[in-house]
Amino acid sequence: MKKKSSAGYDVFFAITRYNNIKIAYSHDLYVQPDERKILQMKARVKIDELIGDDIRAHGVELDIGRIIRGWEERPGPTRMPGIGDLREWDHKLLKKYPPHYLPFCDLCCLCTMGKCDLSRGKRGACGIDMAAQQSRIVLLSASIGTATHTGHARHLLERLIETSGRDHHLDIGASVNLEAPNIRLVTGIKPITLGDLEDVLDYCEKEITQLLACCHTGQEGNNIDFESKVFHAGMIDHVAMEAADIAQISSLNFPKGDPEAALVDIGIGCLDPGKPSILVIGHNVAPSVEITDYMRDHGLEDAIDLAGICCTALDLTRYNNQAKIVGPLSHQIRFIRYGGADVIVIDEQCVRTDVVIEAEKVHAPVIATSCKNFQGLPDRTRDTVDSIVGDIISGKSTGAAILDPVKAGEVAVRLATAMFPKRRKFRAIPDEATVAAAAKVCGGCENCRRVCPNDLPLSEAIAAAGKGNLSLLGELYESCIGCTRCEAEGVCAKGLMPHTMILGASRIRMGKEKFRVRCGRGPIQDTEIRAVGGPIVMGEVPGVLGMVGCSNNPGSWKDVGFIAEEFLKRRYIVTTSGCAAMQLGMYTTEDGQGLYEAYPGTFDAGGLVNCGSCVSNAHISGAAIKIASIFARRQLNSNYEEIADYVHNRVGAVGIAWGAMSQKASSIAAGFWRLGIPVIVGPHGAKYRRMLLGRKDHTEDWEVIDARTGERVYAAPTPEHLFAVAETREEAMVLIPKLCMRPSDTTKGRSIKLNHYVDLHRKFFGVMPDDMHLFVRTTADIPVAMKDDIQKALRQTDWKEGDGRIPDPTLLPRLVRRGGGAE
Amino acid sequence: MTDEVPWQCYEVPGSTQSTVVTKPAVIAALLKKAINPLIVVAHHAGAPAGVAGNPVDTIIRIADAGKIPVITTPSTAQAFRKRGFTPTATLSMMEIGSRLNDPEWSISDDHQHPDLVLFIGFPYSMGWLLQSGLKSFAPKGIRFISIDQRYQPHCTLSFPNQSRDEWLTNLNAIADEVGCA
Repeated sequence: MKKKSSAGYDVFFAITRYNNIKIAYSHDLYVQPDERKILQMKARVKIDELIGDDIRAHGVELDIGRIIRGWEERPGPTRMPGIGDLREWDHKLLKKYPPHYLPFCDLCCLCTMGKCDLSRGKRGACGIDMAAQQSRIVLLSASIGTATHTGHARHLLERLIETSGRDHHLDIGASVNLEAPNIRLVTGIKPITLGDLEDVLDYCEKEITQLLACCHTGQEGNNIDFESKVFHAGMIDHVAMEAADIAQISSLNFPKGDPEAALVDIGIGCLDPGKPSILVIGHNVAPSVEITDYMRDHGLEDAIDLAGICCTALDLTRYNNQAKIVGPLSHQIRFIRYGGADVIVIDEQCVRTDVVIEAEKVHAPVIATSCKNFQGLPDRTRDTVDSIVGDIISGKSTGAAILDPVKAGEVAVRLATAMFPKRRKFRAIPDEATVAAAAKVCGGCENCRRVCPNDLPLSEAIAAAGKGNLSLLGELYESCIGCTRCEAEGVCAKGLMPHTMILGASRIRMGKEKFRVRCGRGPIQDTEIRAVGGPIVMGEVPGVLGMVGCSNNPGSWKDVGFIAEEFLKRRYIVTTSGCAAMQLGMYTTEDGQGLYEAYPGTFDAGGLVNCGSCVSNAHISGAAIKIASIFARRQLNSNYEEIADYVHNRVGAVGIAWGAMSQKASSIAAGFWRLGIPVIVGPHGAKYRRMLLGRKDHTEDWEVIDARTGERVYAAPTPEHLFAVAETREEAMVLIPKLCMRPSDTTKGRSIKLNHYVDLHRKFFGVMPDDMHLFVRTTADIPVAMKDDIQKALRQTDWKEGDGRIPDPTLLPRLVRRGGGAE
Repeated sequence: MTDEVPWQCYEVPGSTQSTVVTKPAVIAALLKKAINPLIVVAHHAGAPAGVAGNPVDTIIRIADAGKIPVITTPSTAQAFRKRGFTPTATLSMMEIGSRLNDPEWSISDDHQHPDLVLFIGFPYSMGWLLQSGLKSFAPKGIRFISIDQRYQPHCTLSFPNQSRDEWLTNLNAIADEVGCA
C-alpha cells in the first residue's frame, strides 16, 4: 500500500515473513542514548524474500536516500521545499510589494542571439522583456550569493569533519536549545552532529542548481515568478549560512551566544610595526585557525601579529581574541600599500582580485588557500614547507597556492618571520611632501572624479594639495571605498594616482587608527528570546535592526555608526554582522567611547549584538524565527509559510545594508524578504536593479485577515516596503521606525513606534510626517508627549478614529480559527 | 543620438540616450506647452556650504512662474520650506519612480498624470537608475528632462555636462523664460 504524503511517498505494509535482510549504511549510525531516535542516514536494504499481507517479492532492494531524525514536532507542509513550493506565499508578498525596476543595463548579453535591447517595451530574441530580464539578473545575483555561502559552508564542513569527525556533536551553547531555526524550519532536520549538516547542504546544493537553471534562456518568462525564485535563493542562503556558522561555532569553540564575548582590537594602528605580521583576507577561517595553532604550538603568539580583513578577520577573533582586525574589505589596498603585512594569506570571497599585484608592490608574498581563488599562483600543496618557504624567501616565487590549511599555516608563520627584516622598508604610500609635489601637475580635467563610484571631488582635493593643503585629500579617506578605479590605466593623463595620494595625506592618521569591536557572539539565546519576544511582538521594544552588509558606503563609514547610535539610544535592539559590524566598531561616540564599549552585547532593548561574520546573518533571521517558535509556540518543523506570516505581521525587524555591494548581500536580503522582513539599502543599493515598494495610497493593498474571525481588516501600510533605497542617512533613519510598525502592535507599542517616527522626522526634516494619519488607528496610539501636535495634524487630514480592535493578523486563510477565511 | 558622455564614464547606457539640450529656452518652451508638468527635486539641489548660488531658489522661481507642482524627496523638502515654499508632495526617490510608472497616479486631485517631468538634484547614479526605469516602464509619451549639472543619458532631453556657473546660469534662464508671458 502506498500512501502519499507531503514529502513524497511513505510506504506502509505489514511484513509477515522475510528471509535474509542485509542493511548497508552510507555512514556510521549514531544514536544518542537518551533520545533513542533514528538519526539521518542513507541506507540500502536488501531482502532476498519478502512476504506481506498484500505483497510477495524476491530480491527486494530498498535505497533509502534520507531518514530524518525524529524530533518532538511533526513535520509541517513544506519539508525541503522545491523552487515552486512556496510560490503562493511569495506571490502574496509580491502583490503587496510589487517590483519597481531600475535597469542597470538596457541590454541582455546572455546568449548568442543577442545582444538584445530591451528598453522601451522591446523584447529580446528569446521573447524576454525588461521586467523579466531585470528579475532574472536579480535571481542570478542571489543565486551566486547563495552558492558562495553554500560553497563556503561545504568546504568548511569538509574541513571540520576531517579534524573533528562526522559524529562531532553540535554544541552552540547551553542556552541555545533551538540551535538551527532556519535549518529546522526549511529542511525539517534537527542537526545533532556535523554529519547531519551534510544532508542540509545536499539540499541547498540541489536547490541552487535548480535556481541557476531558471536563469537559462527560455526557462522562466514572468518577472513575478523570477522574483519568487529570488526569495527561494534567499531562504536557501540562510540555511547554508546557518549550517556554516553552527559547524564552526561547535568545532572551533567560538563564543556560544555569549553577550559578553571579548572586545578585540580593530584598526591599522593596532598592529605593532616592530613585529612580523600576517594578514588574512576572506571568509573561510580554516587557514587562520591553523596559523593560530602553529603560533601557539611554537610559542609565537606574542612574537607575530596576526590580523585580518573582512569576515575571516571576524571569525579569526572568535577563535583567537588576541588576533586583530585591520578593517572592512575597503581597507585591503590601503593596508597592503601601507606595508603592514609581511605575508598575505587569502581564502575566499571579497578578496581583491589584484591582491598579488598589490602585494608585489610591497614585496609581500601571497599564500592562496582556496581552490576557488588561486589568483594564478602555483599549486605547492604537495611540496614541502621548507621548499615553499625557501623559494619565496629567495625571490624565486612571489607566492604559492597551498590547499592544505595546516601546511599553509606553517608556511605563513615561517615566512612572516623570515620576510619581516627583508621587506619592512617597502611601502607604497608616499609622504606628504611627495604628494604635494606630484599634485602640482594636475590639470583639473576631473577624469578621476568621473570614474569614482562616490563622485568624490578628487580634482579639487588634488588642486589644493598642489598648493600645500593636504586636508581635503585627507578628508576623502573615510569616504573612499578603496576601489582604485581612479588609478586605472589611462584615467589620468598626467599619471597621477589619486587613491595613493589620499593615503599619503592620511598616512599618519592610518598609523593611529585604533578601535574596539566585540567579537561575534553567534546565536541569540533562547532565554533572551523568551524575555524580549513579547515586548517585540507587542511593539514595546520599538524594533530590531539588522545592520549588515559591506563597506560600499556612499559617504563616510562613520554614517553606519551614526545610524546605529541613534537607535541604540532609542532602545532598539541593534544586531550586526560582517563588515558593518566592523564599521560600528570604528565609530566613536561624543563621549569618546566605542559603540561596543558603550552598549551591552545582549539581545535586549539598547543592546548592540555582533553575531559575527557574513554567515552569522543566519542568527539574525534565526532570532525572528525563534520569536515565532519559542515565544509564540508556532510549529517550526517544515512550516515556512506560517512562520514567515507570523514574522511579517508581528516582528518589527528591519535590515539595513548601508554599504551593500556583493551578490551575497543580495541573497542575504532575499532571505529576509521571504520572511517578510523589510531591508533598506544605501544609494549604491539601487544598483541591485529593483526595489520592492508598497503603495501606501492603495488602501486595498493593506488588508490582513483577522485570524480570530476570518474578516478582512485594514491594517495600514505596516510595513510599507520590503526593499527600499534611502537617498541619505537621515532618510534611512526616518524610514527605520516606520518600517518597524506591524499590524499586531498594541496601542502602547504603536505609540512608542510612532513617537520615534515622528520625532526623527521632525529632527531631520523639520516637520511632522505627512503620512502619520495612516498609522494612528485610535487616539490611544498617539504618543502622550506629542498629543496636541499629532491631533492638530490629524485634523488636517481625513483621519477617522478606528474601533480599536487589533487584529490577529495573517495573510493565510488556512490560519483562521473560525468563521471561514476565504481568499 | 548625442555626442555627450555620461558624467560617470562607466555608466554606459544602451542604444538610446537623452538628446542634449544646450538652450534653456527649449526647456522653457516645452514647460509652457506641457499640460501637466511636474518638477522632481532631490537633495543635491541644495548648494554646498560656502558655494554661491542655490538652485532651490531658481526651482521655486520656475515653479511659481509656471504654476508647476513640485515633488521633493524627504531630505530636500526642508530647503524649500525654509524659503516659504511648500512642495506639493514629498516622497522618496524610488517612490516617485514607482508613481510615475503608474498611469493612474497624479500628484494631487487637481492634477493628472504628468506629461512632462523635470529632474534636478539627483545623486548621479540614483538619477541614472531611476530614469533608466522610467525609460522602459513609464507610460508612453511623457517627456523626461534632466536639468542637472551633469548629463543624464536615460531621459528624453538632458543638459550636457557643465560647470556649476554655467548650470546656474542656464537654470536662471529657464526661470526667466517661463516667467515671460
